[in-house]
Amino acid sequence: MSEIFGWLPNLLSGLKTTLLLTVGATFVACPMALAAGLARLSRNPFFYGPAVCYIEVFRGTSALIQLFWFYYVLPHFGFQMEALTAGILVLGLNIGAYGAEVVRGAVQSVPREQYEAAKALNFSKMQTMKKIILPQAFVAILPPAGNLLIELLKSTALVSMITITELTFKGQMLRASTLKSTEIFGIILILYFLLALSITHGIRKLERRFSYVKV
Amino acid sequence: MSNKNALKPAIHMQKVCKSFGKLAVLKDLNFEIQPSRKVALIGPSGSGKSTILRILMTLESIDSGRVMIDEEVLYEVKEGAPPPHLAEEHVSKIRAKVGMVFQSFNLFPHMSVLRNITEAPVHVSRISKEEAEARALEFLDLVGLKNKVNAYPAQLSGGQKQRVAIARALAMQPRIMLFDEITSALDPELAAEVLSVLRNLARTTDMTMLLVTHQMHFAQEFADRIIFMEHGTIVEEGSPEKIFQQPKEERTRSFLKTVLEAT
Amino acid sequence: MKEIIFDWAFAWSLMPELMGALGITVIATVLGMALAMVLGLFWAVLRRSKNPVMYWFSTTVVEFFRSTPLLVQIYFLFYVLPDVGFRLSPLQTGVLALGIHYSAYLAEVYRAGIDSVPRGQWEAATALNLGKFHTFRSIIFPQALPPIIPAMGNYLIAMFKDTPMLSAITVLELLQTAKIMGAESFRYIEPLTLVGMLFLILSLISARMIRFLEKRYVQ
Repeated sequence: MSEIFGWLPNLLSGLKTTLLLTVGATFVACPMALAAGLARLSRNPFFYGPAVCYIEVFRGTSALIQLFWFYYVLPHFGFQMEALTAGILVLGLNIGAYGAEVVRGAVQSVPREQYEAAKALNFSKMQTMKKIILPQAFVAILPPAGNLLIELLKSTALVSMITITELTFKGQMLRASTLKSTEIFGIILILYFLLALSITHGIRKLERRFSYVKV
Repeated sequence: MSNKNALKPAIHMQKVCKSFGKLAVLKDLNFEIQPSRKVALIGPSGSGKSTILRILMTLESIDSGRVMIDEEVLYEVKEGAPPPHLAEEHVSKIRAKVGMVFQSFNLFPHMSVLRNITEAPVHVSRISKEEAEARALEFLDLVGLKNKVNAYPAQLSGGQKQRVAIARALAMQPRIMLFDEITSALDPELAAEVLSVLRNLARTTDMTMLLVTHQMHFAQEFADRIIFMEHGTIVEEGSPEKIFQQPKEERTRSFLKTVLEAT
Repeated sequence: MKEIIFDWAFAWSLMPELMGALGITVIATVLGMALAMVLGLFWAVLRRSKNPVMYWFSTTVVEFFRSTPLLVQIYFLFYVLPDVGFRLSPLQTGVLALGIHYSAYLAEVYRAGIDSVPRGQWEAATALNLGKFHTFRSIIFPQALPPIIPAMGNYLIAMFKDTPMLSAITVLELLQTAKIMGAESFRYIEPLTLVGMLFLILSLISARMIRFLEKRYVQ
């Protein structure tokens, strides 16, 4: 038991990096998901073309390969970046591509009649999107966004493979020095589980807050 | 056919054709409605009544013909020609004169009753928030729902939702109001409360009103003119007395017989 | 500054070995999926149990497998199994981890499929005095299958894209092979790009197939 207290500083600093990665990538993913999701719905090929490419490439290859590609290949094209930056960028872009499909589905789930009612009140197209459609889509986005956030949290473990010292990496280090595999990886799994539970809890609270919107 | 008044028609449709795919919904339709008149469109479903309202609200375009609102051209399409591109500014200007209440209410579920009513006046007509709210309360009072200002649509009954929708359309102060089967989705007693609001409205305003309904009794007491449609054309029109008591056309008679027997 | 950015000849020379590695990736995916399908059904059945302990246990296990990183689960099995006397090859360990992780997702898929069958079907079967097992096998399951099949297909693709994680425990699948090639030649750009393209092409093709299945099975 006292051993575990000895590991604590290491695990906590790893946990901090994991949280930083999760939050940082969320800030990349949200605007990407919104922009690509809406562009995907546009009839203008200059919008949906790039959006489809982005979505298909990032959903079609695996996050780990994207990570290695950004970290080892992009420098050849003159884009040198720190491991942590590459990690946040790739995880954010990856989840953003999945999020774009969520945004698209949510916007499409708003009934046609809402557009008609907005038109009858003479709202402009921009106003209709901003005031009528997106706020309703937001409510439909919440549950799948919660799942994506958990997927994001899980995928932060991948960056341990490009030497970022987050939770999983610290676990690897501790295991190498103590050989207590069961305890160390057991604790780490539980920590991830608790983080995921708190995400689920937070999203449920948000859903309840917006439950009045349900028709 | 129409009695030529000195007044200019509020709504004027000339040779309007409209089809969805192969199905022709409006065939060479002609009619005009004078300002302040209350007109009911009746006829079997699929006869094109709702399509007329949707065209006037710019929710549908036309294939050919001409549609004018207040002497201004909304649509003008030559037969076979591609639909002309309409300047959004122009359409928006005409659209501002028209309000519509839908069968399925279409309230904005994420906004309170008050915001449902004030949102368009504030952001489209650009009046101040205070004025919009004062006006909203007036209209809510008119539809008997002043106590529901802060409720959300999900907390209202169908009849209450529809009354809010009426207040919302009125708050834009349109010259022409379109009512598209506004009681079809409601139970009889809830429909009755909506109809009583409408009855008062018809008596007290000089707005032009065009109503599509399946409730013949209501059409009879609400309207000063009835238009009976079938298969995309007008079969017969006239005063309620004329249409309901002495219809000239055999098709009108058989329609009224079927509908009145059913209720 | 006449450095070649992407050396096509070198890329071409890597292809045979990468194809072999693709074989390992496919084997891991297929075996992992088979395990996940069986184990997932087991969780789904346990979750329908009226016994509160069984219900709670299966729900927690499914939640736990689903919301913790696959990579850590792989490490856990890789390091812990030998400690308790199970000697598995890295590939076997990897298949086990993929199967367990995805069984949690498939449990949900089965549940949603079974729940999509109207209650009336159970009641009609009861009224005809069919046994519970018989009802499930011949009445419920065939009706639950159409929505299950495309959803399973989606998880098959997801699992396929997760196999590069097995490189962490030295399984010679696509990514690990590419990394070794990179380390030997000091050129990462060709092997990593090729592997990325392979994944992209295969996932796009399989996604097409699933959309076809969806159209066919889900009305």
